[in-house]
Amino acid sequence: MSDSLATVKNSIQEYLETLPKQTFDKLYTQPATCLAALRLLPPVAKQIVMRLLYTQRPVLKADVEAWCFQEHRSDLRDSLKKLAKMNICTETGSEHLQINRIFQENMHNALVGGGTHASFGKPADTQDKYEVDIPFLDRYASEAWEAVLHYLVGTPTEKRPKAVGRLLVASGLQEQDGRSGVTDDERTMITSKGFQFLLLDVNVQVWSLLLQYLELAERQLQMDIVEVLNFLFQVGSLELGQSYSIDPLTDTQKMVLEDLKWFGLFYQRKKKSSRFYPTRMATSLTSGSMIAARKPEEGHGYIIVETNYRIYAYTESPLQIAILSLFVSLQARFQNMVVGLITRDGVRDALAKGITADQIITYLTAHAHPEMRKQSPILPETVVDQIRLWEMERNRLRVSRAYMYNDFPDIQEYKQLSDYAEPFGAILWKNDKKRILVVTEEGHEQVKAFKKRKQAAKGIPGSGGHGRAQASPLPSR
Amino acid sequence: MTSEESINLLAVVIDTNPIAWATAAQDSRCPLDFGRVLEQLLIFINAHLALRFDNELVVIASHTNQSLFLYPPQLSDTDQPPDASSKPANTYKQFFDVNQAVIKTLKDLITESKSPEDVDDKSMLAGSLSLAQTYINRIRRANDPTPLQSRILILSVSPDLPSQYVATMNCIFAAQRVGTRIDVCRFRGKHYGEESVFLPQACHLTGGLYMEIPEAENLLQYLLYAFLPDPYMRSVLCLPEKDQVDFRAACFCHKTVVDVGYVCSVCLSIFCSVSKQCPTCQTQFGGQ
Amino acid sequence: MSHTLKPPKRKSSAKGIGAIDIDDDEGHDLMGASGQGYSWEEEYKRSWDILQEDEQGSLQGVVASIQQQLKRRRLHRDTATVQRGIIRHLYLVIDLSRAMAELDLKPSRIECTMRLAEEFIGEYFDQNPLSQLGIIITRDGLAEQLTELTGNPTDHTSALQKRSNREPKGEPSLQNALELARTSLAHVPSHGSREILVLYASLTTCDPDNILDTLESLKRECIRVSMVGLSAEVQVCRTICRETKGTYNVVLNEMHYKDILFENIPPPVATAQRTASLIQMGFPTTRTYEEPTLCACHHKLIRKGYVCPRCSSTVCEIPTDCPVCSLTLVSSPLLARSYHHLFPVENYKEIGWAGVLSTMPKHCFSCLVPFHGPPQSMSHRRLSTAGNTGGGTAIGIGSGRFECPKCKEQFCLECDAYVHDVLHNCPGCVNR
Repeated sequence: MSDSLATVKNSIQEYLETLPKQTFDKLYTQPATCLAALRLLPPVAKQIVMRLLYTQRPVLKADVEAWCFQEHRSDLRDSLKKLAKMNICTETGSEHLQINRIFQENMHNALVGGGTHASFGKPADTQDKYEVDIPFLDRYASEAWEAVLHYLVGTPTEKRPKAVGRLLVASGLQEQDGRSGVTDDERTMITSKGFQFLLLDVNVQVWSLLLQYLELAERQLQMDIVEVLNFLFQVGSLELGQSYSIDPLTDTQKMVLEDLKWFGLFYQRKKKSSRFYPTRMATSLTSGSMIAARKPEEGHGYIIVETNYRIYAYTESPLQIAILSLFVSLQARFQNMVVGLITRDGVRDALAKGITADQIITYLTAHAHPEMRKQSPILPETVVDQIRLWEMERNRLRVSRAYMYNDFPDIQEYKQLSDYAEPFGAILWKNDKKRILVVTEEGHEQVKAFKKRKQAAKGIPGSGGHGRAQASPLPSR
Repeated sequence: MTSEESINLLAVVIDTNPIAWATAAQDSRCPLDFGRVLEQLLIFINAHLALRFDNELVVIASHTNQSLFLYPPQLSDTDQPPDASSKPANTYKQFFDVNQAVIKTLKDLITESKSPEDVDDKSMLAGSLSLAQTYINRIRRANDPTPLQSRILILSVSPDLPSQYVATMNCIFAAQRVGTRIDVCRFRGKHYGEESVFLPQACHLTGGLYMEIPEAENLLQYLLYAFLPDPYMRSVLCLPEKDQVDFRAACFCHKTVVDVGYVCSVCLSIFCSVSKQCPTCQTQFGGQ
Repeated sequence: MSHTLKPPKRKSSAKGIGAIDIDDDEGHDLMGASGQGYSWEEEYKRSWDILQEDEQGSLQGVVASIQQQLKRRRLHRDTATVQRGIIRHLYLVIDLSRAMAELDLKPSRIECTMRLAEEFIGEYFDQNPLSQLGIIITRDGLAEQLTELTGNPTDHTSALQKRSNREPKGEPSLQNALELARTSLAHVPSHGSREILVLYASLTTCDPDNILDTLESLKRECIRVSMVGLSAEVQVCRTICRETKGTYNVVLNEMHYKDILFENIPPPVATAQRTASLIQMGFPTTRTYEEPTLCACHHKLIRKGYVCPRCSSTVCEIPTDCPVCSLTLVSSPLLARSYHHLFPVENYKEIGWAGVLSTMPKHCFSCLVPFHGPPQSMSHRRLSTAGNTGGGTAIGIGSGRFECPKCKEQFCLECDAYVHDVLHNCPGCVNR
């Protein structure tokens, strides 16, 4: 589980690192972004930033290196690289480290609460007549998110606006259904990437969609990426259950609010409402269990897996049943429970759609019933191993193009050639007794050249050991 | 790694002894302004909270006759919870809450204790440390099984209180048992903040950092540099160490430091010379 | 030699001296040695009867209250400010006879004992830094000294971990063990307390002589013997402990074993015969050397050591006796560790529901945890009975408020346990 969270964190950082320098300068004019960026850094980098925050002049790089003990110097250097990539702290020409002035100033503002940027969200002044509370927001968020997933899977639900559909298509989770003769371009079908997406953890899903949205915004929607990012980081610092006014938001940010409303990140009673409520999904974007490496809360598991390959899922949600039906053969459905069997055919169908065994196992583990969590390992080993074996069955053969050398006149020539080819791993298979050598395509050129040189040296015209091109199927280990 | 998985708790104990601060403010060489010190301390606290969303904090004021929790604030029934809409949009909510709570409670504390009888030149250090320890224990139990890394930062300017020796040592041993480090930031001037005996021992025994700050203008830099790293980071970053702490004892009768002393087997008080009766517990000494 | 039980005293013993009337159909209750009835004659007690469902059929309240009682029970200890022997010399005698190989304590009696002994050693030196400990084992009718009286815990734990020292065989010899301990303790100066703690599993002993003679010499030398029995109560053990003013307990299960064993960690109340004296102690300074030097105690190479103030030899750790001039070397924090035995914290009193007023604070004084209000499911009658018994035997959740008799501040259960076990300062009293 923590792997996926770590990948989320990494993916946000990678995305940020792809941005050009000027963008960073614009980003760092908002203190909320500075705060969020600080929290994304590794621990050593955070300390370095904090120490340099109140220095006026550039610091010698050697001094900074001396801050760490010898054995942790490599961590320090990695942190410095990261800081340079995020454009927080850069190296000037003369071996000095300079902290980004804009970042510094706005970080001061963040710590002290100064400035006029209203970047931490202005709470709404007046009392809301239709005030909502936190359980309502949670319900709203989960309903909206489930509706999106339903739309992805293709179960008939109410229509979603174009924005949602566009985003799903753009992120490769759905594709246009060219087969049907319907001209309505809202007819879409789920792709294999979409299947994999379904099995991911909620936090990872939200962030992957957001990153896609960012790319979409940049390329197609012509929105200012800086404002979008600022808005996202600002939202991460808002408080759950508090309504905020939309006055300080720019137009771009209001558009983002509109779009992301359909994903369950915000609640706005009407389109023209002057206030909005962030839901739990929004406030835990840059904090909470999204980025921390702690266990997500348990208690909503519902799957029981038995050693006889039976699955009992205590759920009524059609979405979860639909996800399960991807790789489980459902046998019976009751009012609050679904009974299914993990079969070879079911799993092979899923594998054919592009889902990996690991994703299936992670999904089952993540949604395991609390009773299952009490035993260790959570899932029965027989079932886990069998799923992996079914996956490996598909990889029985591995094909690679190669060249075969045979008919060597004597053992010396064979040995020479094989000893030459061995060091750079060109040999795929060899048989000393029969004096046959199978060499990779890349290695073939070098081996051929070597052989020519040897022949020229010996002066023997065109003798044994000729190569033949073949695609040889090799049994995979 | 342990740094990513454990929660960090910082407990700040502020010495609010008005007499000591008043003396410090009038010092000729390097006057200390409590207001400035408090400002920089609040920024430091915000920096601690900024590092990770799940960093915990508790602030305790060590006054002349009581210790008080500044944050989290102890709301009595008559207080209203702070109005959420009063928060300006320029401040991160958590920073705002902490700053407001600390300043308000501190103001109340200082305006309450006005009569001269209340005010002596002492500070309830042992009391504040005890409160900090029990709070740390509560947070540790609440977060079980996630490990908790706790540290206590003391900003001190008052002299040591010999009557609180036993209580202070108990707090230090309790901290040692749990792994809490005690850091001390002591303000030293010509007429205030003389050499403390208990505080360097506390730092040495618990693995913390003892620093004497000559002037308050650069306090923030010292705080960010030396006291911000959490215990895991201390093994990565090199921080200044105090060399030798004198663990020799002072005899109870003359308060002079002794190398070889005589210890009463009943009450463990230390004396510099032999006598027939223990002055502390009045036991007669018989036999060798 | 086994000692038989004395015949019970009859209420109507007007008959001749020495004549024992055997007919017992007079209907008088038999009295055991301690004055109460024999336990085999009582009603069969079913331990599960304590669990009773409340009105809604839930056991949760009862379970919670039992847990609370368990926690509280450990806290009630003697807090009178009396003289205690702070400088202790304790011999731990472990019975390694065949009876130790029984499996009734998990994983086996000997494993459980060794594990608890190691924990005991750690806690003992933590709470009594100036004291010394030695270990004696007895098996095959002999007693051997495993480690001498030292202040270094690692010596003892490494001796206990050796395989050869953990094999039980043969019969134990209580008298040999006690004699061995007694001769070793004879060299101890009079200001220190002399104690023996015996962990005994066997029901028999194989002694060369009359054990009561040993008992007499133990009493003469003011040695205090405490015992922990693992199987059943043995009369001779009871006699020895009673005569030397020690304690004797028999364990029920592993947790109880640990509780009883750890009761011996705080210093015992000093008896009148101990003579107080002034002990000469040295307070060494630390010194770091650029080149490694040899320490005087273990002949190891060290860079940082303590310099004895009298003879200037270097030792590597304190507390210890200087090997050259035999001056006890300590540091002031070590002395300070024992102070809390001399100035213990008062036990907190639990406030029952009846005593809870609305003006009382809503939070624990030291950790700000809010006190919970009275549970709705408790009927009015239950409330009053649960409160007034002071939480000792009531079935029902108490108010959770514990008050210090001196400073009148209120604390929660967790703080109560923490203050009395670890902190040894009452936060309310220290803040006055």
